[in-house]
Amino acid sequence: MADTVTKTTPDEPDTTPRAGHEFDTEARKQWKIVLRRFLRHRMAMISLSVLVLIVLAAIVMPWFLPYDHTYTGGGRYEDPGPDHPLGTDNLGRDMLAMLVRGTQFSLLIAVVVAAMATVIGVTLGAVAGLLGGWVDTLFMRLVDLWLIIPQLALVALAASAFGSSWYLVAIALGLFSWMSVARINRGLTLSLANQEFVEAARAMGASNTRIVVKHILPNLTGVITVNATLAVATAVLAEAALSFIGLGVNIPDTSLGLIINNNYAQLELRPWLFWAPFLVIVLISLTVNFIGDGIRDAFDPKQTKVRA
Amino acid sequence: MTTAKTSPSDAAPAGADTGQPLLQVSDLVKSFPVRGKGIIPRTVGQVQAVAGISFDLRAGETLGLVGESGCGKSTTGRAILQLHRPTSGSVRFEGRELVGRTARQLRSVRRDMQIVFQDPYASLNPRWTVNSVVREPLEIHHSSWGDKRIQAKVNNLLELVGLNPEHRNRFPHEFSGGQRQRIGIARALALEPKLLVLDEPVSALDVSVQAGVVNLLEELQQRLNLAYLFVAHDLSIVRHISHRIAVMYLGKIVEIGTRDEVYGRATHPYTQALLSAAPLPDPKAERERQRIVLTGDVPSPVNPPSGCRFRTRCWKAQDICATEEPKLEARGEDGHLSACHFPEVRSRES
Repeated sequence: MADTVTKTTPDEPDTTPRAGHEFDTEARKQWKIVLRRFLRHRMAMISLSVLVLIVLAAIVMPWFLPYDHTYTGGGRYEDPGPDHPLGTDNLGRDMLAMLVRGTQFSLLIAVVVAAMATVIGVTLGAVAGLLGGWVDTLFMRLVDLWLIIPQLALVALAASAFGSSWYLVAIALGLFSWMSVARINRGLTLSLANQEFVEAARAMGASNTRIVVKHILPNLTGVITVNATLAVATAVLAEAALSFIGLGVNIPDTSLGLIINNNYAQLELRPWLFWAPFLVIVLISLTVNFIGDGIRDAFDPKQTKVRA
Repeated sequence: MTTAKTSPSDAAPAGADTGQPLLQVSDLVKSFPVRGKGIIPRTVGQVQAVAGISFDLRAGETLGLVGESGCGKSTTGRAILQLHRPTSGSVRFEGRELVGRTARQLRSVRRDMQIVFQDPYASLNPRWTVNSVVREPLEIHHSSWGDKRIQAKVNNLLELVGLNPEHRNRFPHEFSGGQRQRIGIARALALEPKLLVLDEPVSALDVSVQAGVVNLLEELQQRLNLAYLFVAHDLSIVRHISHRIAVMYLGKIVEIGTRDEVYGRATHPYTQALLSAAPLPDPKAERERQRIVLTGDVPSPVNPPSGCRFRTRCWKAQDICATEEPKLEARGEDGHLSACHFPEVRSRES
C-alpha cells in the first residue's frame, strides 16, 4: 500500500495556495494520513498521555522508591505519611511500591493476553471466513467447543499443576479470550470475501495470501484494534478477578487484583488501600478503550470531515 | 440511447479473424448446493443457476446477455472467468480449456480476461487509493517492470478512461459513481485483456452518466479490439452496444442471434415478451406499443419445470412443451437460434 510515487513532496502541510490546490494531489502515504487523524483525536490523545504516564511510572518508579514490594519492615497499617505516601498494609508492606509492582504485572499480563487473543482470533477467523467449506465448519465448531470449557476450573487445575506465575496466568487467560475475536473476524471476512473488490483481485490472479494481507486485513483494522483494546481492558479485569480468588499472581509478587483482594476489608477504615489500585485498573481500561476508538477512527478513510 | 448513430454494425466486426472464436462456451453448468441446517450442514438440493449454455464470442465482438434478475446472467460471466468454478461443461479461451484448471494454471489466462462489476462502490477497496487499485494487476503480473514503468502505465490507464492522473492519490469515496466505474474499467484494462466481462456495468449509474460510460466502452473496444460479454437487463443499452444478443431464462439461453435478428425478428415468446416490456423512445410508437404481460412468477431454479422452462408462463404452451425440451437450434426464416417448439415472428415492426 505504501506507494512510491515519482512525484515527491515535502511532508509539511502545504498551506500556500497554488493553482488547483483545492484538491491536494500530493502523494499521500496512508500511514501518514492515519497518524495525522489519530493525533487529531482528542480523547485518544488525552488517554494516550495518561496511559504513557502510567506505564512510565510503573517502569521508572521502582528506581526512585525507597522500598520495593518485598519490603515488610513497616508497621501494620500505617497511615499515609512522608515515609509511606500510601501507607502500609497488614504485613507492613509499602503500598506505593506494591501498587507500582502490581501495575507492572497487570499491564504485562494484559498485553500478552491481548496479543494472544488477537493473533489466534484474527488468524482463525480470517482463514475460516475466506476458505469457507469444511475448514470454516471445523474452526467454528472448535470455537463452540472452546466456549463451553469452564475456564476457571482449567486455570485452577493449571495453577495447581504448574504453580502460578504471571506468564501462566497470561497464557491461561489468552487461551480463553480469542473466541469472540475469531467469530467477529470470521463474519467480517466472509462478508468482505464476497465483495466485488475481492472478486476483482481473484479475477486478476491474486493469491489467497495476497487477498488476506492486502484486502481483508486492512479492512479489519478497525475491528481488530477495538477488539485488542477491549481484550487489554478485560484482561486487566480478569487478572484482577483471578488474583482476587487466589489463582493469579502470588506473594511475594503482586498484581492490582491481588492488592484489592488483600485490602478490600479495609474499605471502610482505610479506603485508600482499596481505591488506589481500583483507580489504576479503571484508568488503564478506560484509556486503552479510548485509544482503540481513536485508532479505529484514524484507519477509517471515510471518518474524517477534515481533509487530511 | 437506441437512436444514437454510432451503433455497431450488424455484421461481424472488422478485424475479427474468421478462424477460431476467442471464447467458446459449451454446455456450461454451474449449480450451487442448497444446504440444510444442523451442526454439519448437508446438501439437500442443487440450484442450477446456469443450466447448460453454449455460445461463441469472437475477438472485437460484443455479445449482450439479457434476461431478468436471477436468470443466471452474472453467474455465467463469473463461471467463464472461473470465479465460480463451473460444475460441468467447457470454457475454451483461444482454444485452451479453462474448466478444471488450478488457480496457478489460470494465472496466465487471467491477463487476457478481466471483469468490470456492477456496483462501483463495492468493487473498489475503500482503503486503497485509486493509484493502488489500478496498480494491483500490474504488481501481480508485471512485478519485474519496476516502479517507474508501472506508474507510467497507471497514469496512461487513468487518462485512457478519462480521469485526471493527478487524482490518483484520492480514495474511491471521493469520486462519483461514474468516475468509480471508470476506475474499475482502468483496472480491468491494466493487463491489456482480450475479453472483458461487463457485469451490468452501467445499471447502478444515473442515466446521464450511463451514456458516458457506454460510449467509453465502445471507444475502447474499437481502439483495443476488445471482446465484450455485456451482461445487462437494460434492453436499450444492450441493443445499442451489442453485435449479437443472447436471451436467458432460468439458466438457459432461449434465443441467440444478431442484434437485428433478436430485436426485429424474435421467434421465442419470452424474447417477445421481454422486448414488449421495453419502452420506446418515439412517443407515437410508445402509445401504440402492445405489451405482452406474463402471468405468474419465475419458477424456482431448485425445481425447474420439465421440458421447456418457460412453459409455465407461456401462452403458446402445448403438451409437447412439458415432455420435450426444445433445442436451441435454427428456426424461422433467417435461421438464428431459438429454443421454442412453436417459433413465430411476432407481427410488430420496431
